[in-house]
Amino acid sequence: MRLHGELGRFAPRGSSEADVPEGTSIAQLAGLLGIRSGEYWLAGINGSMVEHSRVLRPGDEVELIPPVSGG
Amino acid sequence: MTHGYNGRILKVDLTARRLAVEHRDEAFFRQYVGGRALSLYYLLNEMEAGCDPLGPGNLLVFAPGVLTGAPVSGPGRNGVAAKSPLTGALASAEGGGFFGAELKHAGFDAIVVSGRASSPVYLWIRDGEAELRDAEHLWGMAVGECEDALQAELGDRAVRTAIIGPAGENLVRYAAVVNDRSHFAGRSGVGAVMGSKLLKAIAVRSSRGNNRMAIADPAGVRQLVTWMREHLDLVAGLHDTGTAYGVKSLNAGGGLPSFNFRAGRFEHAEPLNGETMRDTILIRRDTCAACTVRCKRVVEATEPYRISPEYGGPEYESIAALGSCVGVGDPLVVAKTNELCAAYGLDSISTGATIAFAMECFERGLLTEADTGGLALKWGDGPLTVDLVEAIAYRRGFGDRLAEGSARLAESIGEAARPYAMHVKGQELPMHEPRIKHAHGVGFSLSPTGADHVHNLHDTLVRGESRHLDLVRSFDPTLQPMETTVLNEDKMRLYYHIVHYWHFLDCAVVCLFLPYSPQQLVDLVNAVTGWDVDLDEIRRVGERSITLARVFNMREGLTAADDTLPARMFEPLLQDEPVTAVPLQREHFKAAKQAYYRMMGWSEPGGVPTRATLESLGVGWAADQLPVPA
Repeated sequence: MRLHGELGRFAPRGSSEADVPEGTSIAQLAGLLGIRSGEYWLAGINGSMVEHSRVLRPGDEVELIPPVSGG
Repeated sequence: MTHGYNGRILKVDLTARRLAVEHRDEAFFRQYVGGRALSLYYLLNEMEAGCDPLGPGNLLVFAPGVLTGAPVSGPGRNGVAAKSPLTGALASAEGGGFFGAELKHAGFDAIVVSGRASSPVYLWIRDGEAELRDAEHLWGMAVGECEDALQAELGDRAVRTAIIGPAGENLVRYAAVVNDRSHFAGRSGVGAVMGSKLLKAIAVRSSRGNNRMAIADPAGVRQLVTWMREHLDLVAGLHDTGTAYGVKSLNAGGGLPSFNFRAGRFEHAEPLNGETMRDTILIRRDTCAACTVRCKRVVEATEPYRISPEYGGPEYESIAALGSCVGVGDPLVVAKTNELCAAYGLDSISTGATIAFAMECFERGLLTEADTGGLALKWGDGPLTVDLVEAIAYRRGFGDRLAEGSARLAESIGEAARPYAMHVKGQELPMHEPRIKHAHGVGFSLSPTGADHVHNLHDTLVRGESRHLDLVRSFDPTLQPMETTVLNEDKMRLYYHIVHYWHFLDCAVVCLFLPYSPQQLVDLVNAVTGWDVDLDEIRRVGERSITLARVFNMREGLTAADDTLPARMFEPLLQDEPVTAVPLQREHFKAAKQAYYRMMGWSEPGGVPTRATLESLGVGWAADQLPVPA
């Protein structure tokens, strides 16, 4: 998992990996990590942007990208 | 004894070379708070209506807020306001650094500058005393050089400054005022107004030092300081990569303005993102008064450009405007053009966006080398953009036309160029793509200062349950998350509440990146001032600010017909893969504006504040300033 920007605070201590039940979607993974639906904007798997409902497969590299407001 | 404010406004009449102190009471500060609303009070009451923004009739107001100078992260900022030479509407920009806090500590809540000096001057403020001094020897200097000279002349390296560079002196319509060398009141041409008055700089020093502002309840302030210290993880990403993180996020979502807003993705975005900057040219992080976040970038490089760390480093807006928007993917070019914008005192957003517009006109044959003095304005030409920034600041060659901003440049080229000028009311769009966040586009059109991304709703922040949605719900618990490209009355209600709050922050004057809840800010206002404000009172400060800005703009000749958005926003983005972008629909756009006028208690369809609305906000006096009553 790569949790970008302010989402880094939700990363499990000492690990960038997570074991989840079969059939878990990205949205469900985010929920398991304590990330609410609006805290992340985009989700990527293996470098491509995907729907939040996309079901995870073994070995997938997941990215969660927060929205930004500029500066 | 007053808390949170001094009760003293410094009035500077440059024509008569006369200084005076105006005393204001608690009721005044509770009503206007500072920053934008306080500035509007003076602009409406003391600026010559219909004046030339670059003439002596304009007023220039430097205004911290009641929170500025408090020893806590966030309120180390001040506003600068005037009638804008870029838009003819309100100019209102906020800058960070230490200048605003030092001004408060030195005994003033605002500086109201009128008239025009007969020769260059600077204003020197120390411990409640002020004097105008000759600045002939400073005129022409870049910002850093001028600050060095001022600090040497005044014999104190701790003097804080607000300075214009050559761009302000040369009346570039989007010149900035630079606080403490690397913090910018960037937008809407406040630097040009300062230049038109031959006011090169303001230098300020308080021998009382920091943390000496009279606070009603110091323990209450310390409570927020402690909370922030315990919640630094909420801003760890901001500290790490700064706002430059936005490059990665927005590019992934097809919302990184590229090639003059024709595209939302940029193939060379990776080298421009905040992580790359952190791992290459970032040498340290800087901060504003009392702020523990330390989000400001400080970069340095020697090849192929020498980039001095004295001017900090690029934020997201600068990276996109001087990078993807002009097709430049070289981070060193962006860091160099950003540094030059700082040294010369230019708004990096309008600078990049105006160059991008010219590049598109060149590509379309609307501009040729005969117009540009032999320059081929090609997308992605880094050395060219570096040269153009300097040409703009000094109004050299084609730079003289770019210095007028994209709206005036479009007028001078002709009707065919108009659709490609990305501006609202004459102010260039900041680096946010309305086609991925529709209410944000409506916000561009409604902003009293022309297109603005700060006092605006970012639809992407409220598309699900989030801290940001919690923030808006402080004002209306019934608000629900909404998709980014939905535009209806419910979406505009989210916009309505958040924008009131952002305007309050621009009055107080507080950075919007701090993760405080509105209730925490209410508590902070009360701890600093000893007042008993509540959420509704601070919301109404924002509402008052927006409404007074509307009155000001209407007095200066603007109408609802100026609440526009470039035609491009109603057309599809060029994309090479499916993204989240959808063009706005004109009927939804129009209905959203009308819904907002209604929520604000403004007339329909003209969007004019009614006398009843103004009276309910305690500013009934402003109704007499409207050219056509609602």
